[in-house]
Amino acid sequence: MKREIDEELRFHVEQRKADNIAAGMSKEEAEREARKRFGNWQSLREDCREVRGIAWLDNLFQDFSFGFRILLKQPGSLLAALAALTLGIGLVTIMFCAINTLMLRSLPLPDPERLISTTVPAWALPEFRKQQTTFEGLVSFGDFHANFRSTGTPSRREACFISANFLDVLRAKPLLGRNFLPGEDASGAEAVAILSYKLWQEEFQGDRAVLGSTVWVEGSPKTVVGVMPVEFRFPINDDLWVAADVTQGIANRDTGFVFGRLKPDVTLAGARAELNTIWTRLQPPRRNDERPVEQIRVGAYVDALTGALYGKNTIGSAILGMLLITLFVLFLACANVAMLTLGRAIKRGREFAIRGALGATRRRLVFQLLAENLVLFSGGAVGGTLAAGFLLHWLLSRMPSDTTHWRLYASWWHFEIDGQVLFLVACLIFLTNLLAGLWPALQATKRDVNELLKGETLLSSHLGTAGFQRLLVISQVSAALVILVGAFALIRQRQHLNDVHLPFDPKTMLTVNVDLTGVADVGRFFEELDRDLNQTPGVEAAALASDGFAFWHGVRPIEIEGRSYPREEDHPLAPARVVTPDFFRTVNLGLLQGRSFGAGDRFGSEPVAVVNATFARQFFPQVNPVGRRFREGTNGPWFTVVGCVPDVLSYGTNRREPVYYLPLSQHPSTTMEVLLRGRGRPPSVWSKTVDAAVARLHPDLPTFEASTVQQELDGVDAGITANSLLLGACGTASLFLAAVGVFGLITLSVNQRTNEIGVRLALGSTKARVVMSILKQALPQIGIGLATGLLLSLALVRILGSVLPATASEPVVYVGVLFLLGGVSLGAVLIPAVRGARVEPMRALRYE
Amino acid sequence: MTTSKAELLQGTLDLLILKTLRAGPMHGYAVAQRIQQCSDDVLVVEEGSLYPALYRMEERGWISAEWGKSENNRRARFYSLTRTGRKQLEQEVAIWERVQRAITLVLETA
Repeated sequence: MKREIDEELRFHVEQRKADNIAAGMSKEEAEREARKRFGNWQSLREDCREVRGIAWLDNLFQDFSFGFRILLKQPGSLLAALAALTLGIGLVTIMFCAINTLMLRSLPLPDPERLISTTVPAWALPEFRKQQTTFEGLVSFGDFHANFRSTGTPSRREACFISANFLDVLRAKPLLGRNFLPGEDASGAEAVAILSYKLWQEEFQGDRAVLGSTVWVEGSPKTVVGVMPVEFRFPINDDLWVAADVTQGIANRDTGFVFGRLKPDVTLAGARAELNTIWTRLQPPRRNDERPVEQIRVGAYVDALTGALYGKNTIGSAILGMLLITLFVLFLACANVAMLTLGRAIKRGREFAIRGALGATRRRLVFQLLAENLVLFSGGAVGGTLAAGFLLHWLLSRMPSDTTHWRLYASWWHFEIDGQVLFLVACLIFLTNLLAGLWPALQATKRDVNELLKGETLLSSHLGTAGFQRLLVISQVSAALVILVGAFALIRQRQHLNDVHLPFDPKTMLTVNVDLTGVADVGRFFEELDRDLNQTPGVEAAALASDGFAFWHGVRPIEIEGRSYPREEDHPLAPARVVTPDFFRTVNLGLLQGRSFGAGDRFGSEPVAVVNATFARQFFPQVNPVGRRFREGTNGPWFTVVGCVPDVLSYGTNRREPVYYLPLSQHPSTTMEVLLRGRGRPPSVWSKTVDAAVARLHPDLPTFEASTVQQELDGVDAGITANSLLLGACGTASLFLAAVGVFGLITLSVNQRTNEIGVRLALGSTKARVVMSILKQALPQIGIGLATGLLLSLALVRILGSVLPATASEPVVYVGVLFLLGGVSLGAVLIPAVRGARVEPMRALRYE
Repeated sequence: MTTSKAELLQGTLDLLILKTLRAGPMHGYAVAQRIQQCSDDVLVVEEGSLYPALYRMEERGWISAEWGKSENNRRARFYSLTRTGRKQLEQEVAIWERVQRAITLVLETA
C-alpha cells in the first residue's frame, strides 16, 4: 500500500520534472520545483494513506514501534508500569484459573450435568427407588477411610461403600472386569469390590490376573471383580468401591449420600417436586410444635461436594471474595498506568500540539497513545502470566498434601493456565488498556493548540486533570487499605491458629492413628498397646486418645446432676475425649484436684470422668468438682468426677471450652490416636516403634497419619492457608502499587508546579515552607483516601458478615493497616516534596 | 500571482476532477494539467490536495483506478469515472449552478 502511493506520487514528480526541463529549467531546478509543489511529502503520504482507509493496519504497526521506542526512552516509568501490570494481571490470572478449575470445570464423566445429588437420607432409599420416576437410577454411597490389606503391608485407603448400579448411573466403564451385578449390594450377598487404577498398580503391580483375588477391607474379605481406569476416582479421591447395602447406615459412618441421573426429558424442578411428594408420604404426621421436616433439596452433583447444596457455598463465596480483591489490585495497577500515561502525555504535549497543527487528527493521536499503552499492557500481560504461573506453582507446593482429613481437594482439579484462562486475560488487557489509557489520551490531545505551543510542558489547568489526579490518589489509597485489611485479617487468623497453648512441645510429640474397625476384642488391644509402648525403653510417656489436637469429634449434650432442663435445647454441649490413664502425664496436664484414672476404673465399675477447669467453672462454680456427677444425654449412666485438669487451648480457639475425659477402659473405642513422647530419637523413628508394636499385636492392622502434633495442626485448614498466601501476595502488591502510585502522582503535581516553586524560592521563601505547602496539598488527599478506605472496609465487613473470619472485626487489624499504609503514603509524599523543593529557582523559572 | 492560487473548496475540486475524467481515463498528473489548461491557467491544483481528493473519491466509489502505461511508457495509475461518479457529477453541477446564480444575484442587487 505504502509503495503504491509512493510510486504514484513519484510518477507525478517525474512528469512535472520532465515538463520543467522541457520549459527550460536545469535538472536540479526542475526536480526541486517539482518536489516543492508537493509541499510536505511526509504528511501528504500520511494523509493519503489515511484516506485510503486500509492504512489503519500500517498505522497500527507504526504506532506500535514508535510507542516501543518512546517507552524505552523513559525506563523508570516503564519499569514501574510493567511491575504494576505484572502484579495486577498476574493476580487476576490466578483467580481466573481458580474459578475456571473450581467452578466451571465439571466431572470427568459423560453428561455430568445430568448427575444430581439430593438430600434424601439413605435409610429411605428403597422406598424412593420404588416410587420415583424422574431418575434413571438412584445411588447411595458412604465414603470413608478403611483399613485395607491384600498381599502386601496393610494400608489405609479411601473407600466407598456403594449401591450396585452406581457405575451405570455414572456411565463409567471398568478397565478390567465388570461392574457389580444387581443384588450384590444386598446384605448377605457375596462381598465384591472394584479397585482403582492406582490401587491396582500399587498393590498388584498391574497384574492382569487380579480379578478373582481376595482383598480385606476392614477385616472382611472381598473378591475383586473389576478395575477402573486411571481418571476414575469417584467421588473425590477414592481407591476402592465395595458393593454394600447402604441403607443400613454403615455403623459409625455418615448415612449415605444419595444421587442419581435425571432422565433425559426431566427438569430439576420436576425431580424436586416428585421427591418431596414421596418424602411427605413417607413421614408420619408431625405434631404441631415439632420442627418441620426439611424439604429434599436437589442440585448439581458438584454443588454437593462443595457444600453448595447444603447452603454453605463456602468455596464459591471465598473465591468470589478473592476475585473481588484481585480486581481491586488490578484497578490499582491500571490507575498507576493511567497516571504514568498522563505523565508521558504531558511531557510530550508540545509534540502532540505540533502534530495537531500539522493536520494529524485527534483520533490518530489518541490511537497512538493507546497503541503505546497496548505495548505496555502486552508486556505486563506476558509478565503477569509468567508471574501467575510461578505463583501458582509456589502456592500449590505450599498446600498441605491431600492425604489427611481435608477431603475438599478433588482429583479432577487441575490448576493450570490453559487457553480459556489466557483468553480471559487477553480480554481483560484490552478492557483495562482502554480504561487506563483513554482518558489521559483524550485529555492530552485537546485542541487548544496555541496555548500548548506556548509552553514546553502542559499545565494541569490546561488539561483539567487536577481533579482526576486527586481522585487517583484517593482511590489508590482507599483500595490499598481495603486489601490490606483483608490481608491483615487473614494473617491474624493464621496467627490465632498458631496460637496454640499446649502444655507440651508439639514438635516432638508423635501422633499416630489406629483404626480397629472389623477387629474383634478391641478393649484388650488398646490396653496392651498402651502397656507395650510405655514399657519401651526411651519412651518418656505414651497414651491413647480418641481425638487429636486439630479436630474435635463433635460435642455431646450433657446433664448436670441436680439441675433441670425444661427443653432439650437447654442441655449444655461439651466435647468428650476418651483417654488412657497415662494421657495427662503424657501431655503434661497436672491435676488441679483429685486423681487421674487408674487400674480401679474398669469396665463395669463406677463410671468416672475427669473434667477440665472450664468445665468445673461453668458447671460446678465455687465448689470442688470432685464427687459431683453428670451424664450424657438424658438417660445415660451418671459419671462421677474424680479429677480436674487445666484447660488445653488448641486449634486456634482462644475460647475456653468445657471438656470432659472418660477412661478408655469404660468406653471402648475403635479408633484411637497414639500420643508418644520419646527421648533421644526424632518422632519419625518413634513412629516405626509404634508400627512394630501394633504389628506385634495384630499383624493386619495398618497405622496411618503418623506425624508430629505440629504437623497435624499445620495441615488443618488448607483453605485458610491458600487464602492467606494469596491475600498476603495481594496485600504486598497493593502496598507497593499504592506507594508507587502516590509517589508518581505527587511527583507529577510537583513537576507541574515547578515554575511556581521557582518563583517562590526566588522571592525568598525557604525550602521548608515550600515542602510544607506541597504537603498541605497532598496530605488531605491521603487522609481522605485512608478515611474512605476505612469506611469501605467496615461497610464490606458488615455486608459480607459471616463469610469473613472473625478477625476482620478486630481493631488491631485496622490500627496496624492504618499505621502501615499511612506511613508508606507519608513517605511517598515526602520524598517528591523534598525533591521538588530542591529545584534551582533559575531552572524553574525558565520553564515559563 | 495570487490569482493563480485561487483557493479551491474541497467540493469544487471534486467537481472539477469528475468533469475532467468524463473525457476519459487519465492519471493524476494529467488531471491536474487538464484542469489548469482548461481554466486558462487560473485554477492550479495543489498536489497536496489533488491526491487526497482522488483517493477519497475512489473510496466513495465515484472513480475507479487501474495501473497502466503512460505516454512515455512508465507505470502510472489511471482513474476513470464510474456510473455512481457520473450521477454524482450531475448533482454537483446542479448545485454549483444554483450557488453561482445565488452569488450573482447578491452581487447585482447590492
